[in-house]
Amino acid sequence: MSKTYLGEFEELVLTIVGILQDDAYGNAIVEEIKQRVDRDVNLSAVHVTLYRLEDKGYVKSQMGGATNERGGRRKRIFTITNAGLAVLRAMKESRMDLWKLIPQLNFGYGAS
Amino acid sequence: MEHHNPGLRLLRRLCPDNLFEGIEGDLVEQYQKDTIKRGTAWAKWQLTLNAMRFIRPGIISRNKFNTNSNTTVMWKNYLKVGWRNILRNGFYSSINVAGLALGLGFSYLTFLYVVGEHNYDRFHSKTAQIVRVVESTVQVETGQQKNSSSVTAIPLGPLLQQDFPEIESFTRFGSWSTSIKIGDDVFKETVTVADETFFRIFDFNVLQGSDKLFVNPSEVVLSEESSHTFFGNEDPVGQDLLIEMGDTLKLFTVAAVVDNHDGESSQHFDVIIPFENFKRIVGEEVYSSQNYGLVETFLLLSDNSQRSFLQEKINDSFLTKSKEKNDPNALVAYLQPLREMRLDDARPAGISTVGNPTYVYVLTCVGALILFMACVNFVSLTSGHTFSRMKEVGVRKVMGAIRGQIRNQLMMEALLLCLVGAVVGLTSVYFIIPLFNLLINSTVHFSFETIPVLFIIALILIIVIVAGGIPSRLLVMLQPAQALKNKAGNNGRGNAMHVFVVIQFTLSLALIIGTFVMNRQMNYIYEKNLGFDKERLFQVSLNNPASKNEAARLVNLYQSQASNSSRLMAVAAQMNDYEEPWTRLSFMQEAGDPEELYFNMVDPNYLSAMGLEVVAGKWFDKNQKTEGSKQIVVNEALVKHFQWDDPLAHQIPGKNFESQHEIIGVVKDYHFSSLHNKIEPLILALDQDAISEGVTGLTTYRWPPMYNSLAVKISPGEIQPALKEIESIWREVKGDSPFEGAFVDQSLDAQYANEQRWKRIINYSSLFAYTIATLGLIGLVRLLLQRKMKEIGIRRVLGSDFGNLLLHFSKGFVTLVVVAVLLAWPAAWWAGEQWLQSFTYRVTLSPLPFVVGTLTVCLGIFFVVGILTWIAAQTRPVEVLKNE
Repeated sequence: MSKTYLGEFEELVLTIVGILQDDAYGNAIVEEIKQRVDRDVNLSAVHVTLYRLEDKGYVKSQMGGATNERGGRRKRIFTITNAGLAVLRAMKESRMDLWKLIPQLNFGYGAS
Repeated sequence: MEHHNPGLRLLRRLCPDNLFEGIEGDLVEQYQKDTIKRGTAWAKWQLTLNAMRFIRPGIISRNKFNTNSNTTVMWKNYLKVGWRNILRNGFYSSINVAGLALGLGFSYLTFLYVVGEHNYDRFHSKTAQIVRVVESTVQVETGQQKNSSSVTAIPLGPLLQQDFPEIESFTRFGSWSTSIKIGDDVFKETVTVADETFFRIFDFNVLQGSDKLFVNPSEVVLSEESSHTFFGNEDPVGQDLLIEMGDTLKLFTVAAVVDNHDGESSQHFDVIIPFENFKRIVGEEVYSSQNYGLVETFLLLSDNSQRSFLQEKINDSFLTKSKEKNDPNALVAYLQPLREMRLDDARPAGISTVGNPTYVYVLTCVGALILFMACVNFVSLTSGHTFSRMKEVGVRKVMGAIRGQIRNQLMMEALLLCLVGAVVGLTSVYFIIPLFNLLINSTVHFSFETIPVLFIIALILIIVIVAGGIPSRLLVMLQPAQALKNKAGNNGRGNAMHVFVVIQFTLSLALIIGTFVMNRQMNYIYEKNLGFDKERLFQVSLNNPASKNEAARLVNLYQSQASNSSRLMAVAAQMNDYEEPWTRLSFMQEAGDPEELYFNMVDPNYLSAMGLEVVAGKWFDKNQKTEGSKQIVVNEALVKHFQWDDPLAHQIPGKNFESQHEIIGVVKDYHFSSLHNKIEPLILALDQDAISEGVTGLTTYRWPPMYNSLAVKISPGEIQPALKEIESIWREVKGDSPFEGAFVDQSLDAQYANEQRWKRIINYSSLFAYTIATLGLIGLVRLLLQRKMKEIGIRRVLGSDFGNLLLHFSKGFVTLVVVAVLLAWPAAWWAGEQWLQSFTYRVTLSPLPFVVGTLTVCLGIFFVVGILTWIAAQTRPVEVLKNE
């Protein structure tokens, strides 16, 4: 897994897929991102990212049920794979490790 | 209604199907929300925009498969497997490579030749601006053109330049054959004369010596070849040589050696001297006369675009001049561009050499045909062979190979074979070129021309795509399980192979028939009764005697010496011999029509030496004085031409024939020119003066009119001592002049050298075509038999012997041969008829070549099928039957 690299946006989308569980499809992800991190993202960008993640094996997809508001088209539901979870976790941990190296609290050395 | 959104519609076309539903759903959902939030119009706009945003590489170029497979590794694998396959199937590969190499090599060779012909005279930097003046006479009233000639009068060039400012400069180009003396050596050479502008108009680069040429009239410029003949390896520049001019020898100094671009230039010269020297050869009167066509006139135009304008201007002035003089005829000039000269057979030949456009065209077609056959061969063999590799394809499919991959692999193998074939073919061209040049007497040199190389690359690509594409398409349709069981079950490919066989046999059959027709016509020409006896007839050149009297003296001397010999039957003197076109006289008829008749000056012995036959009247009396004789003898063609009943009572109807010539006899027609032409009216006389008054023009390769050679008829018996005697008499008569002679039948051969050459080319190319077709047949029959090994095994078990098998498998080819014959015969008939029409005296197309050609092809097929069947029958039945 050492060679894997996820872009910032890829990581965001992958995380959201993880959060949404069984309801992760294009529009839901766009809305979730808007809601959670207040960021306007484009639907097509999300789709491309999802397919790329699928290529890398971090998510898998299947066609879900159709709803009326979609004009009868089925949703492509994405679910995070174990590999996806692992890479998210690995990224989070490596980031935490780095985070810990930053001196975060000032114990007043400079205050005297 | 969202279906009609243009963005969505576009996306539906571009987007991979498996992704589209999910994407469309998301877009529609968004649209619904937008409608509620901001209204329909805005939502529609957003939908379009959003849909368009999906048109990006990440979506539309996303394929179902393949994006992930590592193609470079696969290519390496194809290369390796392909190479192994080629090596394993050595027989099939070598047949395939050989066929393609033959085809590519042959067509490249023809290409080089044709390109060479087309690039004739193009090495001059001013090629586009150079034209040659071709003149003809036109009757002003009727507009009828006559007597077209590429050789023009000597004063024409200067006159034209004086009158027309569009002409930047001109050069005249003439030649005569004479002797050159260097020390004690005498060389027989054709000496060329040209104006000093010659080297400025044309680009014949100076190799040695001064750049400023023809500064004084006693300079001579040599070609590399003649410099080598004259001086060996010595430095030729500054050396002296003596050129025999009329009755004197004139001293010339070598000023330079130039590259004469032999084989690339229509103007061929080896020894060239300034033009003013020509005055001593032709005499003052002819030199300034408008009536004698003796030299070619080249003009350098200041601008190429003015050619047709200038031509009109010149013709207008010619017309005005002849109207002023009340002449019913006017001259018409055609300014022939230099770059068209080589392959323009509509103009009569002059001094410059010409090619033959028909043959260039034929050769191009034959080259293309052979190349086409080779390609068809390759494609049919390659795709046929693929079917014997079904198991491999089946395994590959089971392992997950998709169609593209199988196609790539097949193409890779085809490419490998093609490359090997191309390398082999082009390499052999390099080595074969000297032989080719020797065979057809050409000067092709090997080079990698951009266009043909690009063409070959393109061709290889096409072959590869077709040869790899067709079978992969068929193979992909097969189920892996079927493929693994080696069940082809597709009849389409069998038909395709049959079509290939038919195409190849049609082409080679047509070529073979053509070859037979051509050979028959050539043999006919050789054996045709020429009207005179060409056997044991030897010509001795008088080597340009100084004057008419000197010529007559030499002839008399020779004849009296020869009369003592029993080996020489007759010795005759003649002006024109079989080396060059004969002299033509032109004059005005009483009615004002221009007329042109062939003329030869002979002596009374001519009749017996040539073996001619007198059909009316009598021949010249032996004891008659030749000088001043007014008697003439004509041929039957002339009588027919003027529609005379009693020729002896008539005169040639010339307007200004004041002196009374008298027709004393008529000889049977004989061929004094090539069999391409019909026998033209001819006048024979003892003295040119018999008809010279009133003649207005003359086209001749011999000047002045006098005896130029002897025709010696050798008595039956050994030839060699007779030849020695002919030479020794010449030595006694004129020891200081080289002896030069040739048998008439050999000179005639030289006239047909072109046809001979082409006969050889066609013979070889049909051999090539036949070889390629046979190679293809061998490959196809073998493939066929390989697939039928089981059948052969069963048949043998059931008691078939080789004969039964052969009969059985040959039957399949009978239909193919019949179709090929049906296609080839009419085509060959048409082409043969076209070619034969160029001969006035020709064979009729008989069925024989057709039958013989067809038999040859059938025998070939039978032979190939027989041998291969025999080989197949040698396998023990159990070997093939135990499979499965």
